[in-house]
Amino acid sequence: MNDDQIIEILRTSKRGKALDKLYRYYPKVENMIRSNGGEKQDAQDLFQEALIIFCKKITDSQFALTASINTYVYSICKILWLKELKKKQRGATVKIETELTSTQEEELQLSIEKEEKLKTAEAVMSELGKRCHELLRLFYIKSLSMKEIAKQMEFKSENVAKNQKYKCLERAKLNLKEKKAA
Amino acid sequence: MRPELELIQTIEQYLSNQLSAVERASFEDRMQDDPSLQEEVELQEELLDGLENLELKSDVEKSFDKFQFGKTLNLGIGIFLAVAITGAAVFLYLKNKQEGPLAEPENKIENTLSRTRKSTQNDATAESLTNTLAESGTTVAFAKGDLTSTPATEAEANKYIASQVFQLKAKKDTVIETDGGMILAIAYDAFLDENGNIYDGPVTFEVKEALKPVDILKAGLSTKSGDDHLETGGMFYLNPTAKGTQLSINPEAPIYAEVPTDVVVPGMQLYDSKVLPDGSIDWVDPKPIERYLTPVDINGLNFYPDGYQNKVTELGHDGGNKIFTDSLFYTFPDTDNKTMSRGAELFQNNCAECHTNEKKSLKPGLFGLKYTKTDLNWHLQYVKDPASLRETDNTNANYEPNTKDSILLMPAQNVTDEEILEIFKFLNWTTDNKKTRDGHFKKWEDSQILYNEANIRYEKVETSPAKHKQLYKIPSIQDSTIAPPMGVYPADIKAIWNDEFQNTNLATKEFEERLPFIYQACNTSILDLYVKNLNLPLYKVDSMAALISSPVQDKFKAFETRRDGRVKTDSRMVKKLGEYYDAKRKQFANEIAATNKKISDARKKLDDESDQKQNDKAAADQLRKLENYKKELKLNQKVAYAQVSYKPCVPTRGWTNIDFNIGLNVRGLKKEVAESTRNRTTLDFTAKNGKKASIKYEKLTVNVANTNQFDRLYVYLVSQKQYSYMRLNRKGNIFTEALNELMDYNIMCIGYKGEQAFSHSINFVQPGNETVKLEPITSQALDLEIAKMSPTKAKMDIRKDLIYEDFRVKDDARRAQNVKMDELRAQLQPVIFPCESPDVEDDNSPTEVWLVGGGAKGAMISKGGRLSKELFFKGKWLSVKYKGEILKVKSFTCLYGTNEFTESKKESGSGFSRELEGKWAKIKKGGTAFTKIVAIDKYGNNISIPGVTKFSWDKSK
Repeated sequence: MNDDQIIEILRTSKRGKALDKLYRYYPKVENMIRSNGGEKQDAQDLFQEALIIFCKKITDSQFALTASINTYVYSICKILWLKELKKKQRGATVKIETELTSTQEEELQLSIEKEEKLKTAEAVMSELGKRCHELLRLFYIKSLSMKEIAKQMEFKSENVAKNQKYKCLERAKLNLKEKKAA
Repeated sequence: MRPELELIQTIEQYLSNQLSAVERASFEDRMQDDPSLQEEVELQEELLDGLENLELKSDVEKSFDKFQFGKTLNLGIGIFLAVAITGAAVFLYLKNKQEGPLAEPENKIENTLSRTRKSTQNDATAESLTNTLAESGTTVAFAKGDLTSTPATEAEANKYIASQVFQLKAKKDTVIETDGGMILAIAYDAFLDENGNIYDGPVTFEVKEALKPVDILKAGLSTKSGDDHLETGGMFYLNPTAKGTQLSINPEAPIYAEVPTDVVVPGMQLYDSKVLPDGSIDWVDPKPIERYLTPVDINGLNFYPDGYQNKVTELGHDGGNKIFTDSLFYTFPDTDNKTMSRGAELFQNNCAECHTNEKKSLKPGLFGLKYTKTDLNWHLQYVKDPASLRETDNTNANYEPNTKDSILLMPAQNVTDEEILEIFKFLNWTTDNKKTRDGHFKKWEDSQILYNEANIRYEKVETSPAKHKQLYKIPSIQDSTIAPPMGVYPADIKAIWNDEFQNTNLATKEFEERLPFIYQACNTSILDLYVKNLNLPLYKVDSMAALISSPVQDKFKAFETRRDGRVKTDSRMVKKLGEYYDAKRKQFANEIAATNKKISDARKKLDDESDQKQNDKAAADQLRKLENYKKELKLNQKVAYAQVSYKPCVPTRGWTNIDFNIGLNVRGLKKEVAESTRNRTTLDFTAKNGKKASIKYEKLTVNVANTNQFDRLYVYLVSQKQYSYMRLNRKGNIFTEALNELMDYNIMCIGYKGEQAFSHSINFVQPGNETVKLEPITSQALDLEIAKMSPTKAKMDIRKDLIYEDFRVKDDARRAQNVKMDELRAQLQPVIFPCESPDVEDDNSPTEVWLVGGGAKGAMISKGGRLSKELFFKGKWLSVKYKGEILKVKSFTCLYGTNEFTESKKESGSGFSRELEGKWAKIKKGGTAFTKIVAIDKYGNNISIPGVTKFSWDKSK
């Protein structure tokens, strides 16, 4: 699979295969992190995060990849790790240079910050309870119709499922509000 | 619906663009007016983003799991279908299952098996089997016929499973993927017609597959091999035909099949089908299958020596910067003159006591012998066991004096064939019948000795040994004038760590795992094995590596048992890569050596030049100070003498009365003036005639503002009456000197920040305190300023001084950088060349080695492991005291090769001498007795004991 094919697949719903391929870049990242004061676990977490950011970028139709995936993903990891290091050792000046232009880097920084902000919403969603999560997932991610969902999740009727879906959203919203206030 | 929920619904519609244009506009208006509504919208949007992220995260995690367990897309069971088969299946042979690591599920299989067997005896029905299977949930598959006593025939099986038919184009390589996910790669020359010729017309290729237990049951396929039951990983049936005639598979171009599976069960093998007379199938002729490796980006792997990057980081450099670590790593030269070649070392340790490598000497000289190819084996045997050869063969009797009982007879040497060949190579032995281009010892290919052993091992395993034999490549030593390296060198790594080797065995995590041990093996031929045998599965190369004696031999044995396969590569490409590797690593080695020489030559030249400059400058300064003093002294004398009315006498012809002015105490005055001039202190002298001589020296203090902002800063003092300039003494930002009242002085303060000059000058400076602030100045203006302020001589000298100082600052930085680099390299040396590192001798805690056990007679061993006399012992462990702890010795290398202790056999007699087991063993005196000792610590780890310095007996134990 070359870069273009990977991007193509990432934009479809079967991105799993492409993600498998992206893991070929992982060892290099682990190397980088381990030789910059990190652990294997750090590398794994960070690479995951980088892949998420990369996927989101790539699915954005406005976005055009100018570097190779390898370089780009590696650069995301570098930036993330730099952030992490700064957090760990306050005030320390760590220098990690990426192969990207400064505009690209800034753009990435923005995406990373955006991701950070989403963490709360993620947490709220994952704490929502299995059934709610599944219901919302089937509707919003898998784009199933309410009818199909009602059948699959054994709701009495389409309407019950629909009502339930809104209730779930309402609860999630309340939780998010609370978390944000705190 | 509640209004709250309705709002959520509206927001949802808004976010998913389901509102009409009018609704949308009015909703947006409402949002404008109502911040709380806007917040609701944002919250909801955020939640959906979060939901999406969670999904993405779980996908990424799935991929990570796959990655971690090596279950990437490429994974499958790879098989080369080399023999003419029309049906094949992948099976786990149940009998072997106790060896597998999956203890628990296997027990389950066994239970199922025994239960099923029982039920077979009870004449159970097919349904009961199905139940059992469902219950256990394993993939054990039994043929229905086995239970119902109506064997399924091949014909029946064929009937139950649908055919998939592929039309293959003529003369084209094809890859097909079946419905079940099986991948078949078929070369254009994969088929033979009935006459055994390659058939290159269009082929009808029929495939049937039963990859899941349910399919197998449905088809009623047997899972028996003889009377044994098999656990199946799947079965498939291939049938190539052309226009109705049967084709067979070309053994030279086997079809490659990949069967999808999540787990490769150890011991799974490929069976061929054999249709029995009653039409049922027996599975025969098991062949091992291999796990194909997934290549990763080779540039992302780490081929550095163990701990290299960490060490670089530890030393304060960026170990994560590959450009830097590469450039550093690849500057380590290929061969170290200090190291003997392996052959030379072996010769030194094994042969030098009795032989030399000269052509003729008092000892039997061994240099440059010739032998024919046929008698190479004779030589090998002769070295290892001359006694038996003497008994059976006298054709080569002229090799030694005809004195069978002579003490001069060569004793048996405990060396391996491979080591003997290394020694021969060192001795420049040649073959008679096959002269090589350069006349050197013809490479290892001639002998094949080392690898015959490997081949023999495989002949036992492989079904068609003849075919496999040719697969083994013998590593070649490219150039015998370069000493064969001791270990893995940076040039070797540079030759493989590049894009040429993408998608080969080397570009795998599996190879990366082996590399540390390849380094530790300290034998380049091991890396050669891996590079030259890219067409072999790694485990086969492991087994070859395990045959070569090295400290980590065991590790390769362990790797072998993992049965790691290989990356699919084109054999033609593999050959090319082998050539590439040979050419490149030689080239890189030469390049590295040339570059290093260039660098060191350039550095030496610069150092020499700089030394010369420093010497010249020091001499010039010395002269300048002396001349300054002389000129000032003259001036002072003139004035002082005048003050006391002393006229120095000018000797005339004939007698001169030197006591003429004695009343003035001339000697005292001379001394005082000289002292005052030298020390630059005020002269205050009263002559005997009562007159006073006085020359005042008064202190000038120049305080330069913002001293710190300058890289360098000088304050020059010049005077018309001086020979040349003086430099004020500096202390922090204060510059001082004593001024002679007889002179008019100018001072010039010159500072530099980088290349930018700053200056400030004072005409006719007076003693006392001056505070000056330097202003920036162009170099031309500075030049003029110097000219204006100073007399000609001083002008020139100041310019020279400034140029020299500029040079010196830069040169100091250059030297400091070199020193830093040297230190870095020195510290990295042992990491990069673990094989060559001189043993570190720790004087504080000397390493003691002694034998434990009564009755051992011992000898002290001097530094370097030399024995003072013969050492006898029997049946005892050797122990080593290391860092205060007593450890059991696992193996040691001494005069007689490497010796290993095992639990069952406490002492390997042959290791020490030719004494039989149970008798006294001895270690001969002399030579480097112990060079390497590997011990086991209390945790069971192997520890290599460096620098064996002191041996003693512990008779108490």
